[in-house]
Amino acid sequence: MGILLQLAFRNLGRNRRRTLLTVLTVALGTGLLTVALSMLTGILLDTLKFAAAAVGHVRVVDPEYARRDQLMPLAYNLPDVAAVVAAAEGQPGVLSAHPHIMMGVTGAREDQDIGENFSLLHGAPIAYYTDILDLDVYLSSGRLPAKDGEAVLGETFAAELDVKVGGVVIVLGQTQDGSPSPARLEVVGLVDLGNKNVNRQTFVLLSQAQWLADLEGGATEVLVHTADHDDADEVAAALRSQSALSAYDVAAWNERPPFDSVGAFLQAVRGIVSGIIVFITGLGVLNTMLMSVLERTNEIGVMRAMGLTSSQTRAMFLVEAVTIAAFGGVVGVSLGSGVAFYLSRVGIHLGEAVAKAPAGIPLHETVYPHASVDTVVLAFLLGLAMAVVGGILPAWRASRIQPVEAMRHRR
Amino acid sequence: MICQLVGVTKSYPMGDLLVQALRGVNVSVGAGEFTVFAGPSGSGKSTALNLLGCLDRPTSGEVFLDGQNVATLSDDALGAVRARRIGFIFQSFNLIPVLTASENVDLALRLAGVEGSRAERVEKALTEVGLKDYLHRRPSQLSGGQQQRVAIARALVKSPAIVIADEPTANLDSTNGEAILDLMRQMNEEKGVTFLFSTHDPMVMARAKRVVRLKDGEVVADEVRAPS
Repeated sequence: MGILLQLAFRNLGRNRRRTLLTVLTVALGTGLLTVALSMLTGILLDTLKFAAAAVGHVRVVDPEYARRDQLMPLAYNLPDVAAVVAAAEGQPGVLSAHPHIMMGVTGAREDQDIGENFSLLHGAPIAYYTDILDLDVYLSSGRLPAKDGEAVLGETFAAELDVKVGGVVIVLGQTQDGSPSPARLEVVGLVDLGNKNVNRQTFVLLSQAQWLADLEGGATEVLVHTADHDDADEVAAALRSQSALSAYDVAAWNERPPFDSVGAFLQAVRGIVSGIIVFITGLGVLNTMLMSVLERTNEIGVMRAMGLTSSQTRAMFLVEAVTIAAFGGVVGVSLGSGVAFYLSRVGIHLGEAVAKAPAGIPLHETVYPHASVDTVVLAFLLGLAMAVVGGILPAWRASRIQPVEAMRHRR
Repeated sequence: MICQLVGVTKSYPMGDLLVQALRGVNVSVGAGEFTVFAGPSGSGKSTALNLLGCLDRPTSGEVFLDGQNVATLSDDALGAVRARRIGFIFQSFNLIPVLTASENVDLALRLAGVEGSRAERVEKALTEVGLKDYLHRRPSQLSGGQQQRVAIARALVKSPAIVIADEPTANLDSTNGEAILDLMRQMNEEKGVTFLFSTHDPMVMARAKRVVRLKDGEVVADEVRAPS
């Protein structure tokens, strides 16, 4: 192996311009990978943070509600929600537990007929809005609701109704037994949550939602929060074992749609993006190595005549390719990390494409890449993969050179 | 006897034609010989040399090296035979350009699996060919004659059973060519190294102890002669 390493290093200096170009190709590939993977990780973490805030690290609901989750059936609720909150808050590892009601409503201004402007209405204690959702941070105007009859609207919903802070809207929801249930709400604030679909929401106090749903003292769910979203599985298991909660469905955020598939989806995107970059960069390495094999046919033949085996020949070219990739990889991940770190401060505006994402997948229009050691190591390893992808064919071709064929080749 | 071709034929496809490079050749080379395979282009001398050097396999017939039939060995086994028992000297010197003179010679030992004392053997081999002061020069820093001397040291450093030299003076001027031939002849006489050449150079033939002439793939003459 020593001689192969020595030859590989020496051969890199043989055509320095070509080696430099190939190193730069790999550097560009690994740099792009570092930025792309950091970006996707940033989106994933953003999604997780949003998921945790929006749906709770752990959710406690009626089992039937869990089965019909998408329909948000008010009939399957938690009648004594205070008892459920108390049981959850008594569990070590739980930071908070908040009752929450979600229902679909249609809305209109006072002077309009109830039309087709739909909104997802949330009812929760003010602490949930300030401590968990950070709704006050996202206020673009006005304030949070302080009493029944007040609401905060997402900007998309407000724009559709053409209503501003100080305006009044009529929302039409339903009670737990399915009867229509209207409410007159004063708009006290508008929020911009960074996504057009997510901005189609309405936020009121829990008591207001309880009144709308005819659910006094109850809620449709209790959202439990832990110190870290990674603790959710453990806390969910502990809550399930509590006798007070045994009648309910207790599920961690990552066990529920759409978050059970967002992670896998983003991982698939990471895989596809990585695969494309590895393939394209591998072509660059392939070109260099093939040229090198062609130029050195005679030399390879001489070494084969002297006893170099076909597997040693393959190894020699692969070592060369991997050495190029190692240099390129170090340069690439260094530059890529710098760019990713910078972008993690200023963010990348993805614009309208993201705004059209399904409402259940809360992607923000501006994403902040997340550069981590894991990402850098992965990008570097994928850089080595580029070398193997680009080096295999030339190495195989080199190993097929017969010594007698090389003897016929005269310089 | 070091090596032997027994009833060897070798044919190559060339387009739609099958070219008969060797037609039932029988020839033996004994230890300590300084033998030339001579003949015009297309006579089959290089093909015969390739077969005796274990670089190629015959279409039919047998090739023996130290009594072992090597015609049926696998690629890797043939490679091992070449690495340990056969030295090569080429027309174009064919040194590895990224290695120094001593590293080129050392490469032969490493590929032969020689462990330990390599540095002494390398220095001794290069000293014997008159290049003691050029150990760390790369091929591009050496003249053609010096490069061929490195190639001779590379071929001899592993003490092979036979040295195969394919037109070793063809790329040298007459002065350097004669000096190289004298050096090889000296190695042959002083150390008993067996040399086998292919050439049509009269200068090489004049120094040979034996000349095997080939024509159209057949041995047409085998002359043992008094050295000049």
